Amino acid sequence: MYNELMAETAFEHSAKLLVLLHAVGAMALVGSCTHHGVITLRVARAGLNGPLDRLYSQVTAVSYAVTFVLGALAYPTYRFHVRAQYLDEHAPWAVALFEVKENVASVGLALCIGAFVTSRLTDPAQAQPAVRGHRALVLGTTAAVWFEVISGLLITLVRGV
Amino acid sequence: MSAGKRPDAAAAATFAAIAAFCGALAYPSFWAMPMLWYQPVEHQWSFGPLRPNLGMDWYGRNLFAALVAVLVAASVSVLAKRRAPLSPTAVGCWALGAVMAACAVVLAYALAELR
Repeated sequence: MYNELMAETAFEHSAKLLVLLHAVGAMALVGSCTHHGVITLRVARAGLNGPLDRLYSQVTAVSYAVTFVLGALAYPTYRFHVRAQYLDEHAPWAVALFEVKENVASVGLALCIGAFVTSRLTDPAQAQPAVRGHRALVLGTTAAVWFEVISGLLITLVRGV
Repeated sequence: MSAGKRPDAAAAATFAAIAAFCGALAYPSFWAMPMLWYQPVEHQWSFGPLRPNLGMDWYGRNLFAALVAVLVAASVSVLAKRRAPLSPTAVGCWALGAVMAACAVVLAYALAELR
């Protein structure tokens, strides 16, 4: 059993700041990817706004990467001080939700980078299979981000860093 | 990646990389294999098949998945550029594979946690 007073995790002293910045990044991310999803659906119907699609792909990729890194830096503090010392015993459902969230975050990052790359390759005004694939990546990223935000809020409501 | 010359090859490589990333991310979670572990209290990294106490494999799995994705993207890009341009249907199949892999991995983790 670890001694709570002795143990210190990486970035523990700045964990609250990291999580706050992680949340701010998530706000920017959820805004950009939701707008991108809406643009993508509009493009699918009306065939508009290739440049806007590329711009939102860029903003979403940058905000996703920043949010992802901030979350990764705060993760050791969560793992020991939140999960091991509280959630494992009192809220196992939150532990399970976080396990899914961390993997959705990784998959979402892959989709987001893919959407960024394919936005440079395709003309969203055309209905080619590659364009449909790009739209699927955008909508997948949006779904992943919303899941991460809602699950992150639920877990933090139980216990934060 | 000469996206301007062969966007079909670049698109296929991107979709293949996503599918590979998802598969490589999930594989160590469900089948035992040596992995990079981070121990948050000891501030140590270790490599092996067994999880140390409080060990975190998320960093190692992401690193492993990223390496696999880069290798797959490079391989598919090189192979696709050596062949005739891919048909829209072929690119669509790569896209479908990527989306299905992402959905399958998320579903697998969700089901594993529900059990």
